[in-house]
Amino acid sequence: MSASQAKNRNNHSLFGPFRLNLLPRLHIEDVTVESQSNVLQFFGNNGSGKSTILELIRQELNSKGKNYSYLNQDYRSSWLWWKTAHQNLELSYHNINDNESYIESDLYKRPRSWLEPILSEKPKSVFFENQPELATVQLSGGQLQRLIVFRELLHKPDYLLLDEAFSALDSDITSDIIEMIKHEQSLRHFVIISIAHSEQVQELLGGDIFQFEVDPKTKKLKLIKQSN
Amino acid sequence: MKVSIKPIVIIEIIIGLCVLVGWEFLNSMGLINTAFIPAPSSIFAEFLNPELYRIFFLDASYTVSRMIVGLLIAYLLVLMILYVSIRYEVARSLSDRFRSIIKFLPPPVLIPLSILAVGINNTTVVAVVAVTGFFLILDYAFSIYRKEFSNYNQLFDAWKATNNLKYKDFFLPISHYLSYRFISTLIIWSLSITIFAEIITGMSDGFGPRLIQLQQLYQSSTLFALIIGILIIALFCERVLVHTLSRFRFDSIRAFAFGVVSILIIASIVFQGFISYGLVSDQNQGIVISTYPGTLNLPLFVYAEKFNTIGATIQTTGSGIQSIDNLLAGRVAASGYADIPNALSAINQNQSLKILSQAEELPDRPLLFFVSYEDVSKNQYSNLSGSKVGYYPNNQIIETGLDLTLLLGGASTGGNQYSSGNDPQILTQSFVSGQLDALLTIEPYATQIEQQTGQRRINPNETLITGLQFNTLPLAALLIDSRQFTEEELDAFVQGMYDALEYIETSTNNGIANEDLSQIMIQYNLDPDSYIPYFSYDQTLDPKNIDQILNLISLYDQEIGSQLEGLNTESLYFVE
Repeated sequence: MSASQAKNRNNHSLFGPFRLNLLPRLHIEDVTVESQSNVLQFFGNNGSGKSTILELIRQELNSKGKNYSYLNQDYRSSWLWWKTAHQNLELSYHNINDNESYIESDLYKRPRSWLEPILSEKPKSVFFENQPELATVQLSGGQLQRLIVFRELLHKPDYLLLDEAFSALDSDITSDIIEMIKHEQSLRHFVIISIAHSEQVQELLGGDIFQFEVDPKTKKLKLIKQSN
Repeated sequence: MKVSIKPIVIIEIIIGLCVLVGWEFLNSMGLINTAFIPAPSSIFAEFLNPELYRIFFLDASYTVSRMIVGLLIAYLLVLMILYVSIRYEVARSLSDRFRSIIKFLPPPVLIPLSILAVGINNTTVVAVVAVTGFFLILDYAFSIYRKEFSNYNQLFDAWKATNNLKYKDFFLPISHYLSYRFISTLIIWSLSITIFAEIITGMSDGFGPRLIQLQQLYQSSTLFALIIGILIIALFCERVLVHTLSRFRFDSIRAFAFGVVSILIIASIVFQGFISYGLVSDQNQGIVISTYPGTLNLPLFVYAEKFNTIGATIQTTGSGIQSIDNLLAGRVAASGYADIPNALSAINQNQSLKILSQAEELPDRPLLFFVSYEDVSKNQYSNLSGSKVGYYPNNQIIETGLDLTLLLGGASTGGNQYSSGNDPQILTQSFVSGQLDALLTIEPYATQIEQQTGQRRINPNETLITGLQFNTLPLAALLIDSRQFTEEELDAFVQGMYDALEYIETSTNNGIANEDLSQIMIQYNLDPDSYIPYFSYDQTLDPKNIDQILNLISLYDQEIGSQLEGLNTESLYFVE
C-alpha cells in the first residue's frame, strides 16, 4: 500500500510503496491508497484494522524522523497532568525551539478567547489520594483536549495523526477543535490522518475517506471504498 | 443518597468510648491479665509521665534516624539505577529481571549477611534498611514505569524526547506524585525492619531494645504507651513524606513538609555520622578494639584512657559475642574478654585470631556472682529446687558447673530450668522483672541487681562453683587479629596493658575504685560501686596456663566436634 502525498508538499515522499503484509500478525490485501488531499480519514467497523494502519504509519514516520504529532482520546498518554497548562505548553515548545517561550509563537499570538483564562488560573493544591489526576489541572475533558491539540500544533507538525481523538467530546467542542485544526492547516499545510467513528468528525474534517473491512473468509483486511 | 458525616462520627466515638469503658471495667474486675493488657487509665496515665517523653524522643531519634539514612541511601541508589535504565534498554531489562526475582526475598534474612559484612553497629541496621528500602522503591518505580510512564511512549516518539527529558520531566514527577500509593507500605516495612534489626543486633538504643526491655520488666502500661507513640511516629513520617513528594503544587504545607524532611535527613546524617562508629571509616580510627561494658574489661578501658600506647579506639557492643562478630567481620583488630567457648569457636573460624590474655576465677577472688530471690546461702540451695536459674556467660561448662553446685548444695535440680543469653543486660532485666529465680552473672550487673532489687550476692568473697575447678580453667579471653598488629604494636599494647593493671591495683581499695578509676568506669558505663576483681598477670609462659588452655581445647573439641589447630597463645596471661 502506498499512501498519499499532500498537495503542495512534493518534497515529502511520505511512505513510498511498501507492503503492510510484511507484518506477521496482520493479513492485509495488497491495497494502494492514493490521495491528493491533505486530509485522509480511515473508516471501518471495530476490528477492521484501521488503528493498526495508523500505528504503522506512525512507526514509519518515526523511523524516517518526520515531524509529526499523535493524539488519542486518553489524557493519561498525552497530557502531562503533573504539570500546569502553562508548563505543558512551555515544555512542548521548548522541545523544538531552544529557550524560546511559546508566547513568542505565531500560533499563540493569534487571538484565542478560551486560552487565557485557563493559563491564568492557578492549579488547585490537592492530594492525588482524594482526587483523580485530572482534577489537579482543573480542566474539563473538552478544555483539556483543546489544550492538547493546541500544544501539539505549537510543535509545528508536518503530519497530524488523530486516533479517535474526539470520541469523548460533545459535538460543540468537537466542532470548535476541528475548526481550530482546519484553520491552522489552511495556514501551515500539514497533513491530517484521522480515525473516527463519528460522522460529524468525518464531515468536519473532509478530505478523502477510506473504508476498510476484514474479509470474513480470508480474514484479510481490504479497502472497500474510497470517497473524495 | 447523601450521607451526612456527622452522625457516623458520633456513632464511632460512642462505640470507641464503650470499648474503653468495657475494657477498664473488665480490668477492674480482674478478668483481664493486667501484665498482658493494662487498663486504659493506666496507659493514659503514662502519657502524663515526663520520663516517657524523654525516653520516647531519645529512642525515636535513634530509630528514625537509622530508618531515614537507610531510606535515603536506597532512594539515591534507585534514582541512579532508573536513570541508567531509561538510557539503556539492557540495563532496564536486567534491573527489571533482578527486581522481579529479588522482591520475593524476605528482608530479615539480610540481617546476618549485614552482620558478616559490617559487623554489629549502627551501620548494620542502616544497611539492612537500605537494602530493604532499595528493593521496595525499585519495585514501586518499575511498576510506575510499566503502568504510567510507558503510556507516554508515543508522545516521546513524536516529541523526539531526550533521555534527560524523559527522566526529569516525566518519570521523576510521575513517580513522586503517585508515591502516596506506596509510602505507607514503605514506611511500615522500613520501620519494622529497623526495629527487627535493632533487636537482633542487640543495639542499646532505639525502639527495638526499648520494647524488649519493657516486656522483660513487665512494664506493660509503658509498653502500650510506647506502641501508641510508635504508631504516631509512623503516621507522622508517612504524612510528611506524602506531603513532600506527592503534593501537586509547592504550597505552604508542602514547603513545611519539605523543611521537616530536610531537617530530619540532615539531622539523621549528622547524628549517624558523628555518634555512630559505623559510618566512620575504620581505617581512620587506627586500631579499634570492640568490647562490652563488663568489669572484666576494666583493664582495657583503663588502657584506652591512660596508657594508649597504640592509639586504639574502644568500640562498645552489647555483649562479648557481638565483639567477636565484629572481629570476625574484620571491622576491629581485637575483641575484649568474651567467654572461652565463643573465643575458641572464633579461632576455629579464623586462624589468625590469637588469645592475648585470659581471665580466670581464683577461689577467693570471684568473678561470677550469684543472686537469688529464694532464701539460700552458700552450700544451702535446697529452696532452689525446680527453679528458673539464669547464668552468664552463655557457656555449657558454666551451666553444668552451676547445676552440680546446686545439687551439692542440697537442691533437687531435676526440675530446674536454666537459661542464658549473649546479652548480660537482658538477663539482668529478666531477673529484676522476676522471670528468673536466681542468676549467676558478672560485674557490674551483680551490683545493678543489688541496687534494683535489694537482694545481696551469695558469694561476695569466694568462687561459687566448686564442682568444676574454675581456678584451673580460663573463663574469658581477649582476642586479637594478629594480621592487624605489627610486632612493635603488639609489644606496646602488652606493655600498656601491664601499666593499666598496675594502675587498677593502686587505684583500688578492698575491691572498690577510688575517684580517678571511678571516672573511667562511669565513662564506659560501668557502675563505679561495683566490685573490682583482683587483676594480676604472668609475664612468662606458665606451664599451668598451657595445661589450662589445652584442657579447654580438648573440652571444646569434644563439644563442637572439630579440631583447633595452630592455636598459638601469646606469653601473656592476666589472672583475676
